[in-house]
Amino acid sequence: MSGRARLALVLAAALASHVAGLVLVPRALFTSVVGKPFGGTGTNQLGHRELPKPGMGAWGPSPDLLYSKCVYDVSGGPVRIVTPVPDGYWSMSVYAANTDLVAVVNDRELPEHRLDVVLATSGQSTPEGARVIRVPQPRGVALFRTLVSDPAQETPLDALRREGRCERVS
Amino acid sequence: MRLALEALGFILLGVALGLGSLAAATWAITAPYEERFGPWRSTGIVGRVPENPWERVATATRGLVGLPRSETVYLEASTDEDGRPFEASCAYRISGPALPARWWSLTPYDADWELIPNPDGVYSVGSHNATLDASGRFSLLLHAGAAGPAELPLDDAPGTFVVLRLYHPEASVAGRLGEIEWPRIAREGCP
Repeated sequence: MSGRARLALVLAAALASHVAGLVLVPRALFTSVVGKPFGGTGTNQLGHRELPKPGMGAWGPSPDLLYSKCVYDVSGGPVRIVTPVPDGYWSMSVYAANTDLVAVVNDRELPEHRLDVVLATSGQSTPEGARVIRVPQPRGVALFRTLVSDPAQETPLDALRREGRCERVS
Repeated sequence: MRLALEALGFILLGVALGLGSLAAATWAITAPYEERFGPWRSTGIVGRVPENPWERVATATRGLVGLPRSETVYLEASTDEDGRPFEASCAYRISGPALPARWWSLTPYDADWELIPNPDGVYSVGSHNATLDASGRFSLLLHAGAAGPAELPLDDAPGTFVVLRLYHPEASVAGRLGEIEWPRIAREGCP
């Protein structure tokens, strides 16, 4: 093998692995850490997890937050999220499947204690009058954080969040 | 056969160079965002919307699904204030003023980012359960035998770190992190 061929081989492999890493690392992290729905739910459904405890296999969760999420896929049409919002700290953060943060909404922005929002890509038509979050990619996750500042509030807050819905717009 | 092995060797060398250069680029991007306040470290890259693929890798690896500082400020400490890593055989006093946020909390994790078991099931202390003295300051112990609401557990194995979260920090906080009196972490005793 000539010296030029060796150099070409090294450079081609370096370029290919560098570019592959750029694309695959965020997606692999997304898929392994947040891209799977919570147990018992599927895509475009709102799933919930109990307060974090030791040994849950989660990655650095706050023990004071009830986490819920909707792993969405708007490739078949926009997805609507409707959920009550509690009095205390609450937020919904939307991430694309490449891990980009798309939007954050918190309870202070929702004095009506209710979120009603549609996730859609830029080309999709959405229901008239709906609050719309344009997502850059069809797939991603909407992650909800609900603060439990008093253990006695866990049960009512859990019941409240279970009134929420995440589903494809019909 | 010899030619194939030789080619494979050069391919592996190229892969190492490609991934190594990606790791170096990621480090170069994250380094300017890293800040240190005594034992506490924080990064401004969490919650940023990346402007290019290299920033995306940096953001994903340093602060996956984190929130921007307008929403949450995260700090972490894996040493005491003298720079010594936490030791399971020692006790540490974490103390300071209540923090300027709607809600704040201190949570220890083991080296695998798991919450640390303890008999009383206390996994965090913060604005929701910390006892403040007359001057608005808190004081708590971090040690392996934690018991009660003013103590946080330390893992038996090395690698424990503490995360400090400030949810809805006061408006000016993100711009003056260096001026805030962050909690002290003092080693109190080792056998």
